[in-house]
Amino acid sequence: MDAADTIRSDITVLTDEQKDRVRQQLRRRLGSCQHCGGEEFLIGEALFLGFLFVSEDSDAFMVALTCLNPECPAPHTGIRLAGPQFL
Amino acid sequence: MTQLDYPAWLRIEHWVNVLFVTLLIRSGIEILGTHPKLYRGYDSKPGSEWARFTRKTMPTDKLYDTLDEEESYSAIISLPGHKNLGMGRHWHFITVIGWILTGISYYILLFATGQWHRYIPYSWSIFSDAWNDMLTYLSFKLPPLLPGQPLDAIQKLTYAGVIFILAPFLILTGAAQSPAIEARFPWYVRLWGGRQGARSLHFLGLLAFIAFIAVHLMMVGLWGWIPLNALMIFGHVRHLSWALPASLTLIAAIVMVHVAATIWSLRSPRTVQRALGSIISYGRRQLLRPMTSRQNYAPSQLSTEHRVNGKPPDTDEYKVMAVHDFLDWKLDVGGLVENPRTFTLAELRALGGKQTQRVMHNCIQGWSSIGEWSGVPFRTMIDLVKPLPQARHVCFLTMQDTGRDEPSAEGAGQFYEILDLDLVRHPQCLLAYEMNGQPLPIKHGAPLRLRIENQVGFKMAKWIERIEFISGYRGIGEGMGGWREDNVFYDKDVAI
Amino acid sequence: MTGLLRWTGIGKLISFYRYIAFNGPRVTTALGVVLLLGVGAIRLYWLAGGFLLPRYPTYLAAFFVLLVTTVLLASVSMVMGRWPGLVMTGWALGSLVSMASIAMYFVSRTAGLPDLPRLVGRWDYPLGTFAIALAALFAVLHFSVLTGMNVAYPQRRCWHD
Repeated sequence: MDAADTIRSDITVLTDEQKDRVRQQLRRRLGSCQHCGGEEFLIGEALFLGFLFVSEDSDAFMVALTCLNPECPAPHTGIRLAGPQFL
Repeated sequence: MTQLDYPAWLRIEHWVNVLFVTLLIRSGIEILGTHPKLYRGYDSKPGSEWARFTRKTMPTDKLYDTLDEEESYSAIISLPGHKNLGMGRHWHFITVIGWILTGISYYILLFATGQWHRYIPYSWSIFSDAWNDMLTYLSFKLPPLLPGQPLDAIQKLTYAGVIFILAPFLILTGAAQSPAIEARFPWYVRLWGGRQGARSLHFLGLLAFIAFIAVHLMMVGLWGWIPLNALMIFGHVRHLSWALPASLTLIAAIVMVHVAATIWSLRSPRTVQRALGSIISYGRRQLLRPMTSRQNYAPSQLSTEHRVNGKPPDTDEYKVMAVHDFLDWKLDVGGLVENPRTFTLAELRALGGKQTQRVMHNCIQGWSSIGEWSGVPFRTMIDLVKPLPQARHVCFLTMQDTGRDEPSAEGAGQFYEILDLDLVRHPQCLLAYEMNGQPLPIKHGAPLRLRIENQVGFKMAKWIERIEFISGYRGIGEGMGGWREDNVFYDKDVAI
Repeated sequence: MTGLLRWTGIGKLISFYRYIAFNGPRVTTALGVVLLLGVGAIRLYWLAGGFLLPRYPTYLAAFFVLLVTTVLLASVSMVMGRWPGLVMTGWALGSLVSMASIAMYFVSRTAGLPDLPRLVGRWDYPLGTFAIALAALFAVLHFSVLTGMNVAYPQRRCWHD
């Protein structure tokens, strides 16, 4: 298997259940795309921030969000969540 | 038989050596303090060290890097002290040059004048004589001098050992820590038991020299400070009333040089960097620059924990890019080129001709790790963008802002490094996007980092976002050729 | 107390000392055993007749026998890694023996021992100097273990970084 097809070691792959919890958090926060205002997102995987980054809390994650608006100029974004909120 | 006396050249070289060896010891301790841990073998797996000289402990819940582990030592034992690796290296290397030249001239004069017999014995009976001398010293008595010679048997053997074995040993183990020499001659590293083996041996050599100095001073005191200093200053046991003040004056002068070097380095490091760096860099360019890397370590030798230096860009932009597998990241390649280009990560992969190399990483702090890196040979990039004739250097700009991202570094601003164009044409110069068969991890520079295998690690910029071909660098940053050169006074060309 | 330490420079020396740490438990124990066995071997040699004098008093012979026995006991204890308490007792015994041998040697050369007046002032005896050097080195090594500069088998360093 080529390394290009491998998931990065820094990434945490989320289960469907975990992605649902992310969606709930998104709705709770009334999250919308900062570039186009869209409110529909594809939930991706997560990046554990707490270990790698100086300024982050120890249980912080960034979850990948892709704006589903086909006209969005910059669809890739993310939401910062604490681990217990979705894992 | 040559009279074993004290000619002028011998006396001068003795005192010059006192200065050089003490400068080497203090600057060496400064260098040690930047990674005050000693290991065996090839790499620096955390926790595997056989000695450490620090009281710092590192966190387990946050990424730490080797800058966090750096110690600050007093100016009494290190030159110049207070976490100044750049200055320590300049003094160490300029003194090495002086010491080697002095040593070569000493060897030549010893053999040309017949004085070599003051150290090389006339017969094998020296060993039994030395044994008897040892027993005499253990009886708290002074043994007899060898007939017609100014020293006893055990002193003669000790001096021979220091001059012909210990000093070359330190030079050779020092050379084994040069990335250029290691890269060109991997067998040389193996000879010393690995990169860390060489470093540990170099440290043991330091201890041996300190022990020698302590015993030597004690012996001079026991045998007669005044007559022996008269010999080593005037060449004869004469003018005895002047011997003590003369010796103290010489020692005071040496101490003053140390004090001056320390103060100069702490107050005006840029001038030290320019003055000493220009001489040392000339030596590097002549001797070490031509050495191209021929490393190919076995997969079994890959470090289980490749150490990290530098922390990733602490911005939302970077984190969003990372969680999306760097789909939105772009590499701009421009400046003095015919074809400026922009590449996504996928486009870089698609260039083909992916090169993989298993090589040793040498951090300027002294730790090392072996890793496998894969990516685009920089020669491919050069062929694509076609630098203009006036392009002489390449500037690698990164997403890291040192003030924001690296609390343990002195200084702030965007991290960048500049390399000469002829250096980045080397076969093992790589833009790496993979490490150990996996996509490059964030802590090692994702999505793209530089590998340049005959240079020290800090030149290998991580988290690259832009590459510019330039004709000169005096107008970039502080004009010294890189962030570390600007802020902590390292040299730009670091083949050692 | 802190002021006194600082003023005499002892504080700085202690601080310097605490910066140094080694991770060689087997090497440390091996070195300790070698030093201790050296101390014992020399007394055995003296007992066997290599002694300075043609005749030695019974109490001194008894002291040497006790010393050699204790050295052997201590050396064996120091390598019994399964029982760390026994290991530390071995080290302590080793230091006790070392201090006792040094003290005996000094007393014999200064105040003098009963029935051994000829030893007074006899510092010029290489094997004797070597013996106290070995004993002193062992005591220093044990001190370094007690103060954390060294670890002795079966202790291990918990350096994770």
